[in-house]
Amino acid sequence: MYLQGFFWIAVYLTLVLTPLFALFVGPTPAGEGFLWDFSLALGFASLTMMAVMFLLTARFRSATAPFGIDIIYYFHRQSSVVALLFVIAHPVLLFTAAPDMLLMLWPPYTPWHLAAGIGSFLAMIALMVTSLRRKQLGIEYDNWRLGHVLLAVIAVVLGAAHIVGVGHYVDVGWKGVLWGLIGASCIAAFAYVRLYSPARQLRHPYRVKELIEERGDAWTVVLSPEGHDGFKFEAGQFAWLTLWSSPYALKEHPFSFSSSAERKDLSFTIKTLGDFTNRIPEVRPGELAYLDAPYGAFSIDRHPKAKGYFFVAGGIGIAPVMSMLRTLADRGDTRPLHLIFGYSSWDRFTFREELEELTQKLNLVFVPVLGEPHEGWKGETGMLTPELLERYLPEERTERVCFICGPVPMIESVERSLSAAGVSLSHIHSELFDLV
Amino acid sequence: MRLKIATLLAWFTGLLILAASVFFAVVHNA
Repeated sequence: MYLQGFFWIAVYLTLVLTPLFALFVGPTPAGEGFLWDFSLALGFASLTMMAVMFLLTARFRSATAPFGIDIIYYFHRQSSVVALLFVIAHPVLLFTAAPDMLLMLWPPYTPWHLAAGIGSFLAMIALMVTSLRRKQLGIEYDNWRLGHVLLAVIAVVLGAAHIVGVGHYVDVGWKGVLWGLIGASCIAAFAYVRLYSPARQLRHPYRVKELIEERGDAWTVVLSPEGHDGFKFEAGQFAWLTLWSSPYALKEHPFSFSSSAERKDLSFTIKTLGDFTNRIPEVRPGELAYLDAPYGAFSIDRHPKAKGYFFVAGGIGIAPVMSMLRTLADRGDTRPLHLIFGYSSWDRFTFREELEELTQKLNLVFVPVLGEPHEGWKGETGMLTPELLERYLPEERTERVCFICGPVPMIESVERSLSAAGVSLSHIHSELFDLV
Repeated sequence: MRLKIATLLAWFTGLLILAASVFFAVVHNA
């Protein structure tokens, strides 16, 4: 898995750097000064980075498997900030090198290729602002997704038009082919994720079998495959779920499976937290659902030889952990397990009855941790501190594989605590929710 | 940890691109 990871990182670096190296090779126009050429190189680099984003987010399983797709999206977000800095630097350097060119910003004198470049620049700024500040701007997730895709296409298409219009370094045959290939791979990635994948989902629909109300404003949606055998997933993975619309409508939402990987029916346990999830209680048995799945590297099945597992969950982060515990129970697993699960109160403690039952079926130590304990509560309370984790980490902690799922600050804090307590970083795995 | 690695990789890639761009501008105008 590590080798595969390094291979895909090398592929990524090659993809983003190749067009830059192509600037060096073959017939090139005469140098027009350091700032001018620096600006030009950053312009090419930023457009290439934007184009590669289409490949990054196309959910190719072989490329995302070594990392987990959650981290790919996180990387996409970080790389986009870098690309935006280059996009901003491109005109700043250019106008510094040739201030006369500022006149071309006056509309009567603006050539079409400069207008395309300005359009691409503005689309990129809008992409970043709406992505980094979606919640503060009050943009609904579905509207953001649709706008994000449209703005990304506009940014790249106008950016490519700008390059073709300016005509530097693309008018030589093989360089034109290189840029053509980059453009074609963007279109192919877009077609794969927006046309091929929805078509496959339409051919393999699911039907809602049951809706179960859980403790803590959570609901479990149980789905059965309709006219097909479903698919196998690894316990702890997740799916993009579409309800109440076509898979072409870009109204899919990522949720972890909470069901056992050994059973045919699939379930998702969803907390009512936002526009889409607040509608989950309206789901009715018999309704159609579509799945793009399975994805994710957060799974016991990636570490089958572990001598035991140590799970830490916060809030609805229990969903993928339930999938792993239910799977281990179905398999009759006897390895030692720990679950440290933090939630607000015992009354709202999602899955508490089933977790207590699982301690009978599995070699499981279940440690509920309450943020708002009721009077008389004798268990653990407060945050998942290093001291609390230390109390339950077994002596043979180096042989345990740890899984953490919950809010990002909790994940980061628990990762630090486990690492400081002697657990190898290669044995600590986490799953991010709620990236945008 | 994965977050830190992903962040480092994204910014490392950016630095590589920046270095390659500076190198191009210097060589092309030498």
